[in-house]
Amino acid sequence: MTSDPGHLDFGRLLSGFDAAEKAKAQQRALEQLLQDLLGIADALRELERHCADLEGEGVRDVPRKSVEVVRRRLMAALEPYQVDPSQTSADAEVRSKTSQRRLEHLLVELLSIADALHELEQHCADLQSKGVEGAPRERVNDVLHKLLAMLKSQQVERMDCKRQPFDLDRHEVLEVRPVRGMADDIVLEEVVQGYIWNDRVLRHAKVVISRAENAPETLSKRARRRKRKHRDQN
Amino acid sequence: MRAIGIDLGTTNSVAAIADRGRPRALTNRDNEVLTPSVVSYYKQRGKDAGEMVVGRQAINNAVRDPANTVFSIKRLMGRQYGDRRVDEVQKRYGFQLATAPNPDAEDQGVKVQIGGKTHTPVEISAMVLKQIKADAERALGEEVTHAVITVPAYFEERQRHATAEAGKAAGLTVLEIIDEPTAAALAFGLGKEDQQHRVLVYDLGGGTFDISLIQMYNNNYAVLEIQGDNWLGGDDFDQKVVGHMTEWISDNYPVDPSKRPGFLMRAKPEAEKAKKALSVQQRTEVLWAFNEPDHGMIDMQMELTREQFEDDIRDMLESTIGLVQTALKNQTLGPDDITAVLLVGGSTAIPLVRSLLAEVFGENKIRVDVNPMECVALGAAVRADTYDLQPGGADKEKEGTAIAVHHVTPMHLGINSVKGEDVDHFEPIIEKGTPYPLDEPKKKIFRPSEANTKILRIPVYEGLNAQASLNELQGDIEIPLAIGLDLSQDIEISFDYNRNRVLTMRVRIVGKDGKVILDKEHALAHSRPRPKSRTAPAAGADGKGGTIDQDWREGLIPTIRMGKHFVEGYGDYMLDEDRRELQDAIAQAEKASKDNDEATGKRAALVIDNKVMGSGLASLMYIAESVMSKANAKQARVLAQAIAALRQAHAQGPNEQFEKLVQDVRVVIADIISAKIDTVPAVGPDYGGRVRTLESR
Repeated sequence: MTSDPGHLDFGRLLSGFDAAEKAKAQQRALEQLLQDLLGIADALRELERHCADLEGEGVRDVPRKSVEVVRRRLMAALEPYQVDPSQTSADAEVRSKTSQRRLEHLLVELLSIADALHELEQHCADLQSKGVEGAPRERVNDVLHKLLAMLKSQQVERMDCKRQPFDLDRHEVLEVRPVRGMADDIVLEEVVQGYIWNDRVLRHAKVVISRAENAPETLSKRARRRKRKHRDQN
Repeated sequence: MRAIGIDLGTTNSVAAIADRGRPRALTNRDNEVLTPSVVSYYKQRGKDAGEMVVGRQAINNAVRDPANTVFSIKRLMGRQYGDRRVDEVQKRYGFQLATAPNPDAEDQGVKVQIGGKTHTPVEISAMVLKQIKADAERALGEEVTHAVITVPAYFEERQRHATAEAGKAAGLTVLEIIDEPTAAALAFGLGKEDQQHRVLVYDLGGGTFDISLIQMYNNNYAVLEIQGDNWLGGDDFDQKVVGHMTEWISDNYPVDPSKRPGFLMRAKPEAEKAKKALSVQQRTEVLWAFNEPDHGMIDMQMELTREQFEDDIRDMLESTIGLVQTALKNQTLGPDDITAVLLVGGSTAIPLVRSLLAEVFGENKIRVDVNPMECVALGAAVRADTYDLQPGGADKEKEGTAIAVHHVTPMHLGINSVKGEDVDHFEPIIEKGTPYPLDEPKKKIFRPSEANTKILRIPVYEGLNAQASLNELQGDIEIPLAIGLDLSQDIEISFDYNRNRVLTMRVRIVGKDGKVILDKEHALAHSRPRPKSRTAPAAGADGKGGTIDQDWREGLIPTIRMGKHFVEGYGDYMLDEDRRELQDAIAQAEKASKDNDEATGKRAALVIDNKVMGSGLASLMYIAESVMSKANAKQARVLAQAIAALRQAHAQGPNEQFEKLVQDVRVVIADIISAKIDTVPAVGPDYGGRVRTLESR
C-alpha cells in the first residue's frame, strides 16, 4: 500500500499519540514502583539491624543472613533500572514495548524475592514452634505483606491453587502423588507459587497434584466382578 | 490473507511477519515469542475424550502424563524404525512409539502413540503449526493463509517434504521450505548485492548446535557445508552453573540439595539468570535464600566469575570451534575466505562464543545485529514477503525479488572400487562442491577386477576419505550378468543427483561388437549425514586414510566424541570400573588436546578405543547399532527388534533369556557381516565383484 504524501494519515498519527501516552504512563508507573521498592529495601535493612541486635543479645538461629541475602537481591534487581534505555528510542511504540518488557522482568524478579520472604517466614514459624525466642516472624510477615500489596497495586495477584483442581493454563505439574480417598488432579502442594498479572499468567504455579489411589477393597471388588464376568462368558 | 515466516524449531518455534519490508516476531497467546514445540494429550479425569494441547499447556501437562507428551518431534521427522537417532530421542523423553510394523510393510516411517491413537511426526508437527497459525492470527487480527517454513540445512528431501505436509495439514499454503541458515542470512540482509559472500552461520541453541557455510551472490544462496552436534546447547551450560550451586551448598551446609525433590527445578532459573548476567558483566552473585526442610534457611551468596564459567564450558565451546575448522577444511577454505559470521540461537550471547570465533575470523566479521533467538523466523518472514499472494494458490514471487537457493554436494559421492591391490579404494564420481541438480550425469569408466566376472558389486559411498569403509555407505548394489566379462571390458558408471537429493546410478556395458550387454539404473535415497563419530586413521605412507585429519589433535576430536557418545548411549550397560576408566581417558584426551601433549593424547585415545570395543554388553550394543547402517532394510529391522528385546531383558535383570538374546544379537550381526562375505568369490584375490579403477586415471 502506498501513502499519499499530500495527505495526513490520521489513523497512524493517532496510534502514534496513543503509544506515546501509553509509554509515558508506563514509565510513570515504573518510577513509582521503584520508589516503593526502595521503601521495602529500607524495611529489610531495618529488619537486618533488628536481627543483629538479637544476635548481640545472644539469641541463637536468628536469620540475619537470610534477610541480608533478600535485601541484597532486591537491590541487585533494582540496579538495572537506574538508567532507562527505553527512553532513548525515538519511536513511542518501541518505548512503550520496552517499558512493558522491563516492568514484566522486574515483576518476575520480585516474585523470587516474595518466595524468599515466604520461606523465611515459614522458617521463623518453625523456630517459634521449637521455642526459639525472638524469631522475627511478624516483622518478616510485615515486609512480605508490603511487597505483596505493592505487587497487587501493579495488578499482580497470587493464584489460589491449593486444593483446587489442576488448571492446564495456570499450573505446571512437577509431581503426581497417589493419595487414597482423594479425587484425581487436585493440587496438593504449591512448590512455586503462581501469579497472574493483568489477567494473564506472570508465573505458572509449579504444583504437586493427586492421583486417586484405589483402596484394596475396591480392587478386589473389581477383580471379583471381572472373575464373574469371565465365568458368565464361559 | 497474510503470509508469515515460521522457524519450526526442535525445542521452540517462532513466527514472524514482515511489514513494509521490516520483519518482526509475533507473540503467542502467552505473550511470548517462543512457543515450545511440545504436544500433549490432555484428558480430564473421568471424561471420555481428551484434547491435544500445544506449547506451554503441553509443558504444564508433561509430568502429569509423560507417556502422552511429545517433545522434539522434529528429530523424528522423516525417520524410520531402526534409525539410531529415533532410539536416542525415545531414550531422553518418556513418550511411546507405536509398534514397528512388519518388516515387509512398505511404510516403515516412525510413529508416536499419543492419546490412544497413532500419529505420524507430520501430524504432530502440524499441531504445533496450527497453534502458531492461530496465535499469529490473534496477534495480527487477520487470517494467516501462507507460510515460509524453515528446516535445518541437513534435512533430507523426505524430511523437507514431511515439513511441507505438516504445514499443509495445519491449513497453511506452504510457499517454500527454506534452510535455517539461509533464513538467518536473509534476516541479516545479506546476499542481495552483486558482491559474493561466504558466510558462516553459527547456530547454538538450547539443545542443538549447527554450523553452515553458505555462499551467496545476488540473491543466490548455496549451502556448502554442514557440521554440528545434535545434543549440545545452552542447557548443558546451565547445568554447569547448577553444579557450582550444589557444590556451594554442600560446602557450606550439612545438606545435599541435589537429593531434595524440586531443587534442580528451582535452581535452574537461578542458574540461567547467573549465566545471562555473566554475558554482560565479569562477575555475578547468586543471591538465593530458601528453606531447606531438614536444615532451615540456606543463604546462598555465591560469587561466580565469567572466568570460572568460561573454564567450565570452554571444552564444549572449543569442540564447536573444532567443527568450524573442520567445515572450513572440508571446503578447503581459510578464515580469510569468510566474509561474515552470523550468530544464531540464544547461547551465542555468551562472550566466550564470540571471542573464540573472533580469534579465528577477526572481531569485525562477527555479526550480532539481529536478535539471535528470532533471526531464523525473521528471515523466513522476509522471504514470505517476497511473494504476491493470490486467491486460489497462484502465488508467485514479486517482481525482482526472486531468491535462488541451490546446493552443492558437501562431500564426494563415489564407489568402492579396486585400485592396485587395494580393495577398499574410494573412487569419487561426483566431486564435493558440485552444484546440483546436475546438468548431466557424471560418469567414469571402470574395468572388471577379475576375469569372467558374472556378478558386479558396486558399494556407493559418500565421504572425503580415500578409504571407502571410512566413508558413509549409501547403498550396495549387486548386478548379476548374463555373460562373464573379460578384464579389458569397459564398464561405464554414471551418477545423477537431482533436486530431491536422489542419487541415481546407471551402469552401462557395451560389448566390443557394439551390443549393449547391460544398461541398468538404480535409485538410492541419499542422505546427508551429520558428522560421524568414527576415528579416521592418520595418513599412512601409502596415502590411504586420514585425508581430513592430518593433525593429531583433530584426529582426537572424533575419538573423544565417540567415547562421550559411548558413555552417554551405552554407559548403563558398562561395569562401573570400565565406565570410570573410559571417562578418565576422555578427560585425559581433552586435557592433552588442550596442552598439545601428543603422547598422552594418543595413549588416552587407545584406552577410549579399547573401552568402546571391549566393554562386553555395551560394546555389543554399540557394534550392533553401528552395523545397522551397513545392513539392508530387512536386516536392520530384525537387528532393531533383537536390540530392543535385549534392552528390555537387561532392564529386567539377569535371567536365562538374557544370554539367549545376547546370542541372538550376535547371530544377527554375524548375518549382516557374512551377507557381505558371501559375495566374495571362494578362490583368488578378495575383490568381491568390485570394479577396478583404471590406473591411468
